[in-house]
Amino acid sequence: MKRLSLLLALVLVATMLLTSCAAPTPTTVEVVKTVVVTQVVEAKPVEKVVTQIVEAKPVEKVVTVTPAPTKDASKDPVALRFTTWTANEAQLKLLNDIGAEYKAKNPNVSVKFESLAFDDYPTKLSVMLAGGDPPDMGWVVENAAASWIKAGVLEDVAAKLKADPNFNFEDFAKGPLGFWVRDAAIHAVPFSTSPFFVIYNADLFKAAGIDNPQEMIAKGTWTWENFAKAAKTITEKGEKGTYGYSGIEGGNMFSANLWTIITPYIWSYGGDLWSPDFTTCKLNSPESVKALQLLQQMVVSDKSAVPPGDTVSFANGKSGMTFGQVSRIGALKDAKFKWGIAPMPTGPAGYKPTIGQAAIGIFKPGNPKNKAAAQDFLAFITNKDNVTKMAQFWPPARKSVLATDAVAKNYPTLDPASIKAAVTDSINNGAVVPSHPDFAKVDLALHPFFDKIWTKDANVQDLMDQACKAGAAFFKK
Amino acid sequence: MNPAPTVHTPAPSRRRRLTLAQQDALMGYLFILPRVLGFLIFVLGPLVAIFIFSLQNRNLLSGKIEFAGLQNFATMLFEDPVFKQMVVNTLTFTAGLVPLNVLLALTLAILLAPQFRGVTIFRTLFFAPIITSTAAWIIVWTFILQGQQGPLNQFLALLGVEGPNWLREPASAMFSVIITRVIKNVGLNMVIFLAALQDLPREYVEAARVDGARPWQVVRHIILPFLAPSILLVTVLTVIGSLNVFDHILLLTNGGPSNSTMVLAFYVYFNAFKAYEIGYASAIAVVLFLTALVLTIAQWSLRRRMVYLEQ
Repeated sequence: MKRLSLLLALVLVATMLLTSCAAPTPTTVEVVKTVVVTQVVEAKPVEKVVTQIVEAKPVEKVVTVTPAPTKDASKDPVALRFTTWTANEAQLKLLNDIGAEYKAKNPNVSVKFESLAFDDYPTKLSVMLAGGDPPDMGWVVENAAASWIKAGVLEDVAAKLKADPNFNFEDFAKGPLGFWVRDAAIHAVPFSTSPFFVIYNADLFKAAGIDNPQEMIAKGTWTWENFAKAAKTITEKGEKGTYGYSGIEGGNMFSANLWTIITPYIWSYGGDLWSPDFTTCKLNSPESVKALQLLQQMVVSDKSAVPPGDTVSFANGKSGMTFGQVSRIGALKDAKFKWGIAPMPTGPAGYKPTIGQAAIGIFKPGNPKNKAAAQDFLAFITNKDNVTKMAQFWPPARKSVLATDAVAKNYPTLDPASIKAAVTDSINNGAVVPSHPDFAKVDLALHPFFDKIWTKDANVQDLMDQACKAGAAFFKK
Repeated sequence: MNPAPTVHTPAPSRRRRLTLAQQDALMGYLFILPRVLGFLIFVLGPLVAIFIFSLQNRNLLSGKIEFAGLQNFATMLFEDPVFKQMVVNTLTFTAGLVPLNVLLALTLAILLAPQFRGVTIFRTLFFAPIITSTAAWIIVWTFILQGQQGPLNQFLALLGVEGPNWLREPASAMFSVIITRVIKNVGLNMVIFLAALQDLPREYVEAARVDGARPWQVVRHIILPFLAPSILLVTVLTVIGSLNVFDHILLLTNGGPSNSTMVLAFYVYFNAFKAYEIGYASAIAVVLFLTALVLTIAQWSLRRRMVYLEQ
């Protein structure tokens, strides 16, 4: 009995190891292909065909014996799996409607949208891709882009999109699209190009007796320095617990959203996080340091920015200004104060809008049989008509759609001119927040030095020098 | 003449009958089969896989798999400065949490063992955090431990004390993680000690009192030796638990500030699912496993010296 137990255990372990090490995809693909060919020729139920395969009948022989009419492979049934991170019913309905419309034109192709939680999206998706359960296509967020492109997970769709006269590839704004284009390859097509802008509490500005951002724009004084001065005045004149600036709505500005928060400051001052080819760390450049010193001043000296460890929600009326995107505007519909939006302030290097972006990519590990349909559906869902429909939720990168009121009409309470300045113009002129092929490791190596910036007497230049040194391994030529 | 009677001799059975003992054994094996299968599939299998992966360059995203020998371990020990910080953090966390947890659980158990009015309320109060979800627990503590706005610091301000920014300063962040973890889990250890104390023969304590022993002497010379097996068990479990702590830190500090609360289990997760390097993450997991194993064996070997009563 002991031997039997031991044998059983060994067999089980060996089986598990073998199954975990095996690469199932090619086998699956082969069977699928065989089934399709045989099915067409003999028109038999699938179950019976599978039996034939088990009996190892060569496919060529079957084809020779029964000549079949030529079949258009593009009409084979295809079930596309498409991953998203939205659980919003209205957004899912729109996506499903687009899928249904595509199926009406291509009856053999159905699209199933699968929702994964946003926080774990890259993790869950990478496990699905590596674990033998790959979706065909799906959303990809901008900060994962560089590492996903480097790992070769995303298909190059340039040939399909550039050859499609109806797609009009040139219609996409260069800045936002450039993020996904590497050496003439197009790795994904943006569907949500959402600039960051300032949301301000007009009542707090009025109570403090100072111009609000729109008034400053009209006077040409909407600069980062005046942004900081306004934040300080609101903090000083507001009730206890009121801050002039609260980072980013719905997130913590010192942890997960650090890079998104500091980028508009740094770009407007003429600095950068790192070079576009990832060979040089630029956080310790004089321009970047100057921008970070302003933010440090707001947190440490002026105490006008919500400090690390504290949380203040703009929607509760205790913050004068916050950064946000159009997706955050809905949360303010019940706000008990007057509020408005304005583009990010200008700095010594001018106005440098930053964009958060999500794109649709086709995953290389997906079913090879579905690739052509996936590319075709990608071109369909990002064509002008569908981008116009999706603009109700996700700002577009297509210039022709940006020229319409597709975005502004969804926010009737806001002045169309402020939507144009903060959203439309920012998309046309902005750039996507930086990414890095080793983004997680760069964050791990550099983030500790940013944690030290928000303390009294911290020397930003020294800390950024140390940060660039600590991350030297990720900025090699 | 009567025909010769037909004699039916049963054909010899080809199947060997199991003896009673063998039948019992078979039944026993069948009963434990589900558990053994679960162990093989969900524990031993992944454990063996982790050891194999630790010898590979294995990228979750690109699917690249290459044999790397001991390269992952060499990188970990000689090239990765973050790993060294994680080891220090893990040891700090364990050294802070285990004594505090065990001592507090022991004290609470001794105080709450006697039956007095309202004892059930106190026992429930200390056990309640165990059945609270970690996420809810952390949300409450994140609120309490806020910087200037936090209720704890506002209370301290009333006393004229300026509290630190609990979760944003390295020293206080680790302290906060340890304390919130101890309060969350101390109830379970308390219950183990309470259960053990139920078996304490009252006559030992009464005899000691008759002989003039003071309360501390009763605790020192009767209760603690009696509880020694439970103390060892609780210590081993708490050490293993502290080495594997993950969700608590992920939710409370996300490893910050300045990576000061990032421990090895967190670093395994980071490398596997953020950096997508399954091979390197597995190597760290192997080190974590072996560390827990060595510490457990060391503690277990101490039982001969420490444990007077063992059933």
